[in-house]
Amino acid sequence: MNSPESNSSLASSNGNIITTPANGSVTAASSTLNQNSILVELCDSKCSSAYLQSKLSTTFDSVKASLKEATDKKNSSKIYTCLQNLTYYKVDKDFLDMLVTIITISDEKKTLRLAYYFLNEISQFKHLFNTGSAEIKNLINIFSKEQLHKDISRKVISLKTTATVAPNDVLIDANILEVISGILRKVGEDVDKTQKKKGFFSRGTNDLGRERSLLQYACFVACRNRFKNSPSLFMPIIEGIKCSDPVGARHSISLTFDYAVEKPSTVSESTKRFLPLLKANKGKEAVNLQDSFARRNFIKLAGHLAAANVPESKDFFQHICQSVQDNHYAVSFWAIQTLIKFPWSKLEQAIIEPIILDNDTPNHFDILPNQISLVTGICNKIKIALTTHTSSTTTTSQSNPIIHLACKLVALLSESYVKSAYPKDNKTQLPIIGDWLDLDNIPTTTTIVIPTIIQQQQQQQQLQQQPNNRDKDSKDQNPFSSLTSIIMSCLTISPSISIRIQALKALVWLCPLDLKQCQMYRETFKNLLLDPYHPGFLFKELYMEMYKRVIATPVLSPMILSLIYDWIDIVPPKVDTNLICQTLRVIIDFGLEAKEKVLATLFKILDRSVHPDFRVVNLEILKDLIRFLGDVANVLTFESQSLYPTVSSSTALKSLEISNQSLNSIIQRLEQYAIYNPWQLRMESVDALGKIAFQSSTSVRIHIYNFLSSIPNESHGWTCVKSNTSLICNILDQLLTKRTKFLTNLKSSPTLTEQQSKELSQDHHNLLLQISIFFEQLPNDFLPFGFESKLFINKQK
Amino acid sequence: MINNLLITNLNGNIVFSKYYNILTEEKQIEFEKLTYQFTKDEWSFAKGEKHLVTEFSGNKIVFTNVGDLMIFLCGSNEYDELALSEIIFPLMETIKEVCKKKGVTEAHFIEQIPKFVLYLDEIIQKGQIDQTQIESILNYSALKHDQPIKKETI
Repeated sequence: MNSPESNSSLASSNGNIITTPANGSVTAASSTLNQNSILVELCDSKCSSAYLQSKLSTTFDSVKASLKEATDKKNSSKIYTCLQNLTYYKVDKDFLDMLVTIITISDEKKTLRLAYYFLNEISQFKHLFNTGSAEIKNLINIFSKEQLHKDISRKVISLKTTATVAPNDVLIDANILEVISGILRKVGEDVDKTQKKKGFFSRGTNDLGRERSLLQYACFVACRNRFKNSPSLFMPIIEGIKCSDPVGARHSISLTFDYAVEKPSTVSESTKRFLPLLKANKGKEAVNLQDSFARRNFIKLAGHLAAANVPESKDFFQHICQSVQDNHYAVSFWAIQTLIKFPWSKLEQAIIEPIILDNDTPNHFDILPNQISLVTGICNKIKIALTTHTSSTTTTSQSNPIIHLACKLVALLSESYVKSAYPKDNKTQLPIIGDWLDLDNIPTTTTIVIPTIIQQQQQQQQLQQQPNNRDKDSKDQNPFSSLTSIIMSCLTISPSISIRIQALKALVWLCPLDLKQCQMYRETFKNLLLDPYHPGFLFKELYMEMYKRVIATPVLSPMILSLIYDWIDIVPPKVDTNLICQTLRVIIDFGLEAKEKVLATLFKILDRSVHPDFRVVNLEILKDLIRFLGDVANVLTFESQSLYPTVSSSTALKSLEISNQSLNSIIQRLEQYAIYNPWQLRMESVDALGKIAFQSSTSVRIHIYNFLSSIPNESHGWTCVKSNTSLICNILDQLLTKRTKFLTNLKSSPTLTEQQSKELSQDHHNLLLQISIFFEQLPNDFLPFGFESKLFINKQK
Repeated sequence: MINNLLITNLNGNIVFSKYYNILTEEKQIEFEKLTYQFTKDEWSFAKGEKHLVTEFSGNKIVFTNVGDLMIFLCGSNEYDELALSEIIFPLMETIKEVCKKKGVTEAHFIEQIPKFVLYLDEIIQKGQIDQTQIESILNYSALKHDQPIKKETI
């Protein structure tokens, strides 16, 4: 459990934590010294919060002392008052003795309930309890006594609490298990027979069924806290799914799930008979779970068994499909969430069977006269939920969670569809790169119309009348594309940022697989950037989803690149350059055209004019992008060490020409930035040039070395730039000199002497060390002296 | 699981907190700070007991307003936004129940915390949902399991 201390307040009005000590004075989070002292104070106070403590007239120590005194004196009214006061504080293991004593001496229900509450609270320390101690022995004695008590409440609370708080011990386990087994065994017996016997069930009560189900419930709670997967309880727990107490049935299903994780086939065989809509179960043991959480748990169980290799998996899968028609959104949406874990190909073929209301059909299912495909059923369900809850006339207190989850489901389902439908490379099974279009040449004619409330209601009516409209749609089209307009409307009508984020994520995955048809989405995302009220983290979430989308469908890269430019251009203060660089790295791997487009985008960003208000923030963005350019320039331009002049080409070293035009243009820009900009940018550009030089051919190195040696050095901030420049020049100098020496040695003789090899190896490691300062991670095969040195370095190793 | 329950006043001061997941003191403070930052702008929309949602670092939070208090219920995994929203109902009901004499004010709620913790103990146990029916919650917390339960649900 959590530590016994806690802070005092959620936050100050400006977002910084404000802690309020016991004396009520307010302290800002910025004062570390004060914070530490308050933290110490909090640890001592043991109160739920310092703010709360400031409102109380008691302290933890005073309450503890009073309780001790009252317990010693057996003063029941004072014990009750002290226990009440103790609820404001976090109790520790030292209270065990007092609490056990209180339960022993007290007979008042309100006092007992509080004592059991605190016992439950200290169960987090149960590993520290000594199993042979007097308190634990007393606790078990009380448990045994309470199980014979005529009051059902005392049996229930004692069973639930003792199973939670008693330390793990063979004897204690056996004791509690015996009681649980006894109760569950008797529950299975005939009511009339049981009534005549002495035992766990009190004879005074008129409602034996109720008492049974309550004890069953208590047993299941105890099992959840102590005896998960106990083999001896397997059948009673499975039978508990039929428990008349809805909460008991729910706990039983949870326990059954734990068994299913270990033994799917046994559980599958034993629970198939409970499936509510299975024809073979009708009128027999099919369960009618009234509790929505129990139904959710049953779907979770079915999801596990449907994915397992068991003969009944098909029936369990069908149960989840049927549960989409549950009239409770919390259950229906949970079924959809469970289905998302299955491959799209399976979902596409699945159906929802007709649901006709009769005496055997649980009343929590919506009637479905005709069979429909699962995808249509899901789509209809989500559409109805969104249409109803986005309309201002029919919203409920739960509308926000429903819209939120509906948008999330559309995103997840569309993602599953997109990943399945997008063409893959036959050999690698990776998504194909596809034909990239020039976005500027695509007309932006498509517009989206956000439906009015009346239109939404009409759509809802149409949906109910024509439930199977999916079959008419083209199979190439995203089956959830009909939800686009409603989801887009969430962007404008919802004040909730979280809903807007989910709606945007859904739209990212609703983008068609064809770039031509994505213009509308591109415009929507761009317009969003123009709205000043959206917070920065909303854009981060949006672009994170685009990052995932571009991995799944590389063909959308031009759109994503264009939107990356828009993000930086329109709202630079809300940009996350790390995320942009990550996305660009992914796109770079899509081939030559991708590299060209990335480079073009980077140049476009670097060359754009910046609004004066954004100068400072733009400087930071440019710094990050220049660093990124330095990191990836060699990958983008195919410049590598393999372009080293070979030993035989004696004229190579004399050539200072850079034939790689792309690299040339990168270097030119970086050189420009290294001279005419604020010192921070100049420093970053010099570093980037250095990184390019280290990874490039000799001619590039010489060019950069010459540039850095002759760079103007009079301007403001030069001292900072100078240190980096001289460091890079020094390394380049060593690289060029030592490589020349090595090549000369190699030219005179095909093999090096042992001394020469040793020197080469030392120089190699020395330079690697110096160069690695500039890289997050150098490639393992990086050879500063070129590929010719590989043989000799390996020999030395 | 249900990760935690926070109850604050309208200034963001915590009047009650209960963590079911294991978090250090520093992590709790960080979580509370983030909760505040992610939700503060929307508190006004929670009026009329509307449930709002936010999500960060795998935590789903459903929050709402009752009287002078804000309730934040955080969960993860199977406790999605709709499940949390369902659990918020009995929590709201019990807060109203304990404050029924003087209305849901901060001072009155603090006064009634001893009663509320017992109700909460019936609703959430070890981070798992237990009782959801208000009658069961009220009866069980008073150790009156044998009281008949009416058909109506919350």
